[in-house]
Amino acid sequence: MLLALVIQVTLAEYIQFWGKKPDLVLILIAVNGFLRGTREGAFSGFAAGLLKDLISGNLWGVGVVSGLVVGYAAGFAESRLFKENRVIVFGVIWVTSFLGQLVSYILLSMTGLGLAPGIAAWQIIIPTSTYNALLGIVFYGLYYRSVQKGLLSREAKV
Amino acid sequence: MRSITFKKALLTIAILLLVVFTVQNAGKEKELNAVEGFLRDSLAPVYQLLNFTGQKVKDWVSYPTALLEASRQNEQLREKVSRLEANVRQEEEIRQENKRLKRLLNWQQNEGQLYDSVAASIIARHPDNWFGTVVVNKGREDGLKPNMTVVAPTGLVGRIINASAKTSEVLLITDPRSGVGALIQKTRAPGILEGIASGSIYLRMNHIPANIMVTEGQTVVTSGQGSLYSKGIAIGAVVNVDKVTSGLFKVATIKPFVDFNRLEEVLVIK
Repeated sequence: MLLALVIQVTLAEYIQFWGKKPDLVLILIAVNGFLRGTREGAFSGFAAGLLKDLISGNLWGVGVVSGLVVGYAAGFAESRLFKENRVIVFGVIWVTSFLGQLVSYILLSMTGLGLAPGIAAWQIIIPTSTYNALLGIVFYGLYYRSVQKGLLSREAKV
Repeated sequence: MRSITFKKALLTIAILLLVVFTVQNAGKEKELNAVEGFLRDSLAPVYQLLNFTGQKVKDWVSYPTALLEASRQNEQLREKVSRLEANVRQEEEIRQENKRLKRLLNWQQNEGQLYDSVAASIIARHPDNWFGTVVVNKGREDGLKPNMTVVAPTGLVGRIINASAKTSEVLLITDPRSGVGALIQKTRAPGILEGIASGSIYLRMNHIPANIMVTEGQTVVTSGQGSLYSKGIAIGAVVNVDKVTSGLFKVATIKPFVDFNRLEEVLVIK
């Protein structure tokens, strides 16, 4: 998570489109939640959000709550949806990213961000969710294999 | 079953408390706490290394296209240089006159401040698309403090909002939380410049008096009045003007002179 966050704050700007960069941490939370379920999803979302809030030095709580929501929502889909279909993976990452960004927007609006809903939706929430989902399906294959048989599998940990 | 309900209730209470805490602390430009400062200072060398690598890879990948583009630009630049040389001679004359008049008025303002500056490199950006902030590799040890103005050779970048020992965080003028007192250079029409969204390449200038003519291409500079920013720093050019429904004010869309997506080095005015 820390590595993803460090890459996010340094290298994500090199892969931005129309000024929008993907949220690598959010992708990782969503993919992890989708493969491991609500409990682990929510926990990793909480931890990653906390780290994000700490490193960004901004408002405390926004990263934590949105991370928690994304992790839990992705975990909720774990037992209900087919994990080997890329379209489903795209959908899960898109919807969870959308939810996470929506939660961030609501919290930030309560704290006086002052961004109109239309601008927030069309300039930030939808482009970021789409970019996350596109990048997520590329990353998902690697992560899925790793969870099934590689470094992140439960057997490898034992 | 009962314990699951209890856990859920506990989690809901924790989230609610977190939301209340976040909302209560919002709007305050807080100083970094010890943990945040330590984390940022410890990660600064990693940020710098990754940024350097990223830049090199980007240069390498874009080299062939850059070569073609460079040859085309070379021709254009030759023409431009000769035009500018003529302008510089003219400007020098104006500058000398300005200097004499300033001395005469004993008006020591921005010039002196501009020379007392610190150069800094951008080593990190805000992780998400909501905020437009960057972290630079100079901090309190180099004399940087919150509210210092940050500029690039082409224009205004933003201001420092917090500083650790070795790094500082800069609020870019494209951030929706940013507000800059500004003037249309030619007509002296005042207004407040605000960020639209962090990734947007445009800014919005509000509260321009409706009776003042504003046209495309006019330059916008900082007003310095009641503002944290020094006076007379170039910001951008007007690309579009609209009247607000009340009819009392105009709103202009401004394209900043600074390309925030390619910004690497900045100057912090002390």
